[in-house]
Amino acid sequence: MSIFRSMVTYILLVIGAVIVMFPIGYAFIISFLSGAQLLQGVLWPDEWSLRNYVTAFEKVPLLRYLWNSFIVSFIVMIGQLLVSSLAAYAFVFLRFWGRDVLFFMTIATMLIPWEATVIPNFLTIQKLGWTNSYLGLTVPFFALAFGIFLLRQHFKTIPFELYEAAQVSGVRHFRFFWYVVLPLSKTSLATLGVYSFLTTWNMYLWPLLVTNDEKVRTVQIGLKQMQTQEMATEWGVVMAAVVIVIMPTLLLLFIGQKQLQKGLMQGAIK
Amino acid sequence: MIELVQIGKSYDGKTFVVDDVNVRIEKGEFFVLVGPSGCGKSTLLRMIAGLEPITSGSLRINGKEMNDVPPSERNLSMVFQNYALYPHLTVEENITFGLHTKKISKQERKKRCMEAAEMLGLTDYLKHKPRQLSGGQRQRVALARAIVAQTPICLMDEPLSNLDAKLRAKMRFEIRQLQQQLGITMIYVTHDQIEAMTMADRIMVMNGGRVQQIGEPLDVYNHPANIFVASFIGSPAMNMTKADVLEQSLIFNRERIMRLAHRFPLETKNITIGVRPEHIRLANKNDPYFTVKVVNVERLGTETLITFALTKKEHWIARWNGQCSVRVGDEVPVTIDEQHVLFFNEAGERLYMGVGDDYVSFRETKF
Repeated sequence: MSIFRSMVTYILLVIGAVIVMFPIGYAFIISFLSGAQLLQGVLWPDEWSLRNYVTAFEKVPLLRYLWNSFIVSFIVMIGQLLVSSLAAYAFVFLRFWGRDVLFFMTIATMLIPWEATVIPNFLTIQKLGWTNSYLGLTVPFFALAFGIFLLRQHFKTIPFELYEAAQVSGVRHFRFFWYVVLPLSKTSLATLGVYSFLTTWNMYLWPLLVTNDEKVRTVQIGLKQMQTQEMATEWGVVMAAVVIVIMPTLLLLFIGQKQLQKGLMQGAIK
Repeated sequence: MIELVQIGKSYDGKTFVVDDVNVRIEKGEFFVLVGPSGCGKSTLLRMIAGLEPITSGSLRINGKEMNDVPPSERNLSMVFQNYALYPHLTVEENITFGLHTKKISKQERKKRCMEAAEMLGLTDYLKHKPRQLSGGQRQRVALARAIVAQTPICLMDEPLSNLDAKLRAKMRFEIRQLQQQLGITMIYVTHDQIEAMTMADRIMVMNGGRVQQIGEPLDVYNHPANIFVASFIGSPAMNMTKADVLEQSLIFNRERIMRLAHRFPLETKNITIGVRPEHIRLANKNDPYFTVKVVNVERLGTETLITFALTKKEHWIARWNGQCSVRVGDEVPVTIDEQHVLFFNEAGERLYMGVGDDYVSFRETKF
């Protein structure tokens, strides 16, 4: 019975995996096909040449875009970690009037769809003259209600006596935050870090709005640009670029999987 | 010197969990707050530490009002019940963590840490993490952390309650010794009356947020101010029984009469009497005695606890030295020195009587 059950489970899992992985796998195969082969309906390349990859780098400044994406994602990640952890620290360890109300208001902002805030945010960025700059691409994302929530839940699991002991022995807030709270919250910080890096990496609408030259443009815009540049899209080249772009995502997922699972679980249970 | 003047604590503004506490704790004193759980002793300690705001009254340390001073500026150290060690730091880092903010040079920090570690036998464990240590060692790290701060006042909140009995006895001695060596003023919270009796210069017994009695341990033991203190301090607990007053006699559940050498004031009708187990002894030949039936015998080696039936409903315990050969079911003659009998009125307050040195005599009655 249990063998039967696990067989069914595994078959379902394999089917699921195939469905989920198919687009990525197919994109990978296409990236090695020439335009003509693709039109003929060839499903397997005869030779594994990197021609499409080379073309992808030649056609658009892909390297520049990758670098921009990396910089933007990295800054947003650091910014979110910093802002979320500081805010969460205040919500957990500081006593001030209206603390809980403020926290629930912060949480409530998660109900507002991000798209609804795009226009006002854009106007603000424009007024500040931050269009076409890393500032405009990163700063609006520093405050993240989800991040504050995730870290607050983790900070709450730190025994309050640690804080009190620090208070009695005269340890200042920042020292306690930096040397006790952060090291004890490594898993949640890693989770949040990976999460914010990936969401920023995959962002499309906002970079499209606030950038209009290739100096700071990110890689997702680059992909779109590649499709629209010519009448007849060279899908092989586009897919080669796609494979390059999803590489960091996959790497992060494989490396950070354990941490990510741990962190998300912790947030859920405790 | 720490002064508490009419200190009170209330969370909702109506009911006070700590009420009207007045006490003066002298420099270098080992002062123990003792009481059952929920009596407000920990809250009081946390108010002294500054971790809990004071609702009413004033707290003075060395004559300076401290009510609104943050804990870090009260110049005291504290040991928590669960030790509150930083799990990711080594023993050494744990001990010196609080010193960094006090503008103490690196050499001095190192020196103090080594001294404290030596004093508490932690020298070999300085590089270990707390989770690699046993309960007793963790406790010592917490103590070391309190010591290195070299503050004149140290607060301890039930520091030994997580240890097993044997280790607890050892640590009692060590803490006491440490306190005397360093001459610190210690305020120590415990629910364990043995800790209170063995360690304290003075104890303060609390119940329901109110101070019941303050005094030297033996003084409190011998002269409890009320029924609560009498029953809380001492193990096994003091034998207590309600009695009706009839001139010079007390009647227990209409079964036994106890004759006293003096009269009670006229208005007293119902009282409670208390006798410590060690004051009930086997009667000698010429003593007035009363016979009791033994219900249970516990032989502890050095002493024997004998439970006997005073009345049908009430059992008393007598503590005799040595290993008595009394058996369950035996009828034994016992006697009580009258000076060792304590009287309490209906409200539970102690009645101070002119105490005679006769023995009290019990008689069976038939109504």
